[in-house]
Amino acid sequence: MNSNDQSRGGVADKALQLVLEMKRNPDMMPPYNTDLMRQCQQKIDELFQKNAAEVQKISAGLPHDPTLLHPRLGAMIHIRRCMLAYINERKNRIRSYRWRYGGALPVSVRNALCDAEIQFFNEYSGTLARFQQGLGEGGVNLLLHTAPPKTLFVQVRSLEDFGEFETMDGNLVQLTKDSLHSLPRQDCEMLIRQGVLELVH
Amino acid sequence: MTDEPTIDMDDDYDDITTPEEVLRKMTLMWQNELCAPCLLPSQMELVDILLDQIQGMEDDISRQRDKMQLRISLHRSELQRISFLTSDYVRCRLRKIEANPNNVIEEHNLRKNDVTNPIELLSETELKFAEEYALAEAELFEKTVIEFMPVALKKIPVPKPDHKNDMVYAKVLDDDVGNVTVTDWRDLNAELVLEMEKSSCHLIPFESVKPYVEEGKMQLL
Repeated sequence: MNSNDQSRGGVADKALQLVLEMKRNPDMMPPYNTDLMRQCQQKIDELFQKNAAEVQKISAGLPHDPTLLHPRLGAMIHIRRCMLAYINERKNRIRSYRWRYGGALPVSVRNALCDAEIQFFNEYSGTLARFQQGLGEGGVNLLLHTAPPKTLFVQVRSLEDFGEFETMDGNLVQLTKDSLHSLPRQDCEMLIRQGVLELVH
Repeated sequence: MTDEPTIDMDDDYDDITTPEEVLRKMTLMWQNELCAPCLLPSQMELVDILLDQIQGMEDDISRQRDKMQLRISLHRSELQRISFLTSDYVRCRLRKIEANPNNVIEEHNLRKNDVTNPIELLSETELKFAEEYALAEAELFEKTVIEFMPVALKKIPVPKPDHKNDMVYAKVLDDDVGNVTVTDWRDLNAELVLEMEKSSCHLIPFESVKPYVEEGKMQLL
């Protein structure tokens, strides 16, 4: 009996795994867990069928056992909540990627998303872009100016061979690996975030 | 910040006359927005004015021949600061909208239709953003979870933000704030009355000072 209990596990174990998966990987995007999500759905379906059968017995006047009706409902709601929390946390991370990388997702992240999430990213991206366009006369790039400016120019080191880069005032800079530059802050903000440049202190 | 940019103003904005005034108000509103637990009424017209000015200044600077002048550098720095101010203000508002878009839209409509004191919580572009975002979010949840739920479980409870117990540090900027009431927790029918002297600071429930913060008569710290 005991071993049987262990193999069966708790009713919402799978749902809890979903949440833990996000919690244990705070810095990266774990791949969308289709399998666990499906198992959670099946669990809810199973519980729902059991409850439905019980209700049918009650309405037919057959002998029944109503004690489990409420715990099952509670379990269903709990599993659903875990699923929503999972999606919600992923959604927040997807949003943060839009702010970090702009409109183009890196392949490693893209591969970890499901279709609905990619669609969400694209819609969010479009919404944000339209909003930025609507600001002022020519639109504003909200991805820039993320830190209070202290100096006009910053010292940066190039981490890869990026090639030619044109600054706002029209100067051309050749960014080769490990080269040092002094560039206008707003020009290199995006490159720093993408990991092309690194601040030198 | 001794070097205030000299900016020529359009004539459309009668109530605020100088660029310094706009910038001062923007700074105040930015600080309030950052510290407030909920979304404050939109100040996007200030942002628009400043963006317009930034553009004008940049054009002026690019016309200057001698780019190495100290004057130019100082102006540039000032421009960067203003850009950061406006961008960060907008970003902060977007974050708050994204946290609960439907609730924000609902409140926007409520306050817009308020007979005694109609206030626009969101600007037009922000409203559009909120609506589009709410839709995208709903679709994501629909496709991943809700679609597979039994009919009885399709409705999801969304918690409403509750700011009743949020405390803020506030500084009084204006003379005529007068008295502010705070709920007395020992007796729920009673209220405590606090006198708000100019330039005094208080740790106070946000709900009590909300109207003053929105009018810019108080500054959150």
